[in-house]
Amino acid sequence: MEPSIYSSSKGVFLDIVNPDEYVQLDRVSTIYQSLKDSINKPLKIILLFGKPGTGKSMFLTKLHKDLSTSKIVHLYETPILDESEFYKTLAQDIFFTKFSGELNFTQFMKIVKTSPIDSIPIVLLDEAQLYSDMLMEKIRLLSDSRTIKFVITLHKTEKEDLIAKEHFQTRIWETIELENASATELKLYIQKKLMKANCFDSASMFSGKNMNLIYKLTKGNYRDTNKLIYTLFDLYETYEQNNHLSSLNTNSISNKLVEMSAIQTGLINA
Amino acid sequence: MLNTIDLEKRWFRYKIKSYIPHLIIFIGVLAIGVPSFIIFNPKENDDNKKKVLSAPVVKKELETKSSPDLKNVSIPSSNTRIVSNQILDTVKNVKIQNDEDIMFEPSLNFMQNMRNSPPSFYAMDSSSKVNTQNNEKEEKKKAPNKIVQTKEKIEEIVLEENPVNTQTNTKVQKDIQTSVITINRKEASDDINNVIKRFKVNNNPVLSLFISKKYYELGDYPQAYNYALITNQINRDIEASWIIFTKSLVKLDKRDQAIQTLKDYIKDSNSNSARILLEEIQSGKFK
Repeated sequence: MEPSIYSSSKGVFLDIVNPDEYVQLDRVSTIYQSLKDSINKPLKIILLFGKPGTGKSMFLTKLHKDLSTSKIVHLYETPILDESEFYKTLAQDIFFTKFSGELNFTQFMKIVKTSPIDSIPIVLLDEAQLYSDMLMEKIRLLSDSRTIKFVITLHKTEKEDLIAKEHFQTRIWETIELENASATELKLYIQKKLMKANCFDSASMFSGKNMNLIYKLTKGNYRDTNKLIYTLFDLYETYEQNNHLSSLNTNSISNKLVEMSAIQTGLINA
Repeated sequence: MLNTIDLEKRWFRYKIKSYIPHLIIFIGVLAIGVPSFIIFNPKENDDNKKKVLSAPVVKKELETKSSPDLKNVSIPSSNTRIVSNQILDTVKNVKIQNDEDIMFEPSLNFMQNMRNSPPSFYAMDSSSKVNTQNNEKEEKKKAPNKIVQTKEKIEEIVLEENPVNTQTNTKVQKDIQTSVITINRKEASDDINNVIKRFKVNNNPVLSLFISKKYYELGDYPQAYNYALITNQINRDIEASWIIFTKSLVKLDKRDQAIQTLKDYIKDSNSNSARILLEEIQSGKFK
């Protein structure tokens, strides 16, 4: 039995970071190219920041995938909160040195200086706001030694702004801010995402009114949009399974179901 | 699997909630708008009603004003120059009051004109002849010689356009061509009092003669005698004054004195009017 269009469309909007599902939008592509260019500069740290759900993790994942063939790139999506463990992981991944027991910053710097490497390795740290201030200071010192380049992502909050200013103000070569999508971009994002997964029927169901409502509910946030559309198709699938689909117009997306999805996902407080 | 029934209930509650602000705004607008409409609209309605009601009235007035019967000119009892001047002055006022109901009262502006004119009775006589020449001729033909009534009501006077008259008169007549004039005359005693006041100020014999004539018309022969005597004392050459003086004497049963006075005056002036009057008194025609 073949899955219905709603089931396959639902899977497109699963909230996972998959570089293969990266959607090329004009503004996002420009920012991404800017990030890639910054990597080639003799920088110390690149700061990528923005509100949650603006695509920072996807950017890092995509960057890792694109650069991994030509450069030494290591992506750490989950923060390594223990300092010793952080050094040990870097020593093993970058310098292929296994270290048993505790590894402090001084010992790690010795490893860095004694290990012959042709090119400067690039370390991508996602969710850097979770790192302790002490560890962030060590990362700053490491970047000053120009032995490792860091690309870190931060949530844009007052605290993260403070981190950016106090610790990295003089060392950051490039700061890139990611923003929510505009209404037009969000429409393109949804349709491109569906069409990329060959869900042409469901892509054609979205009208301008649907898109405006979705943008109004999500404010252009990619994560919220993914959640909303996922729930929307989940609802359609449920109606289909309960044989209640006849009560709905299947030629276009029902705004009622969009609002019900928003209630389900918490975008509407009802 | 999602609980669609529960979601639909929640969605329904959400929609009701979302319409509440709109409902409140709508009710608010109604609450403000309806009383405002009730408060302000009746005035407009009243105004409209007034306009509707006033429209035919205006129309009637216009019809009345625009249907002058130029041929039916009737100016009762105005064979004297003074009265004609009065009418002309009154006509000037018509222009001012053109938009209102045209109810005229006698104007004494002619007295002002007299004051500004040469003091001589004859001078006034000649100047007034210029303005009223044609009117006088027509009046003499149409209207019999009547004494100016103390109470006279001139109704629906429509003046014909007179090219001989001055520019002012022409303008006035043009205005009056399209209007019907109602002239109500009040008690002449008020007029006499006003004229007496003026006479006391400037001692103009024209005024004293006018007062004398008025008193004579009113039947107050002693006063007519007095003002005629005053006029003669100021200017001995006014024929009309001597005639009124002798007529008053006859009315006061001083027939002999009247005859003697007339004889003396005829000697000095060779007045035909005085001679005719003397014959009438002697023959008993005038009593």
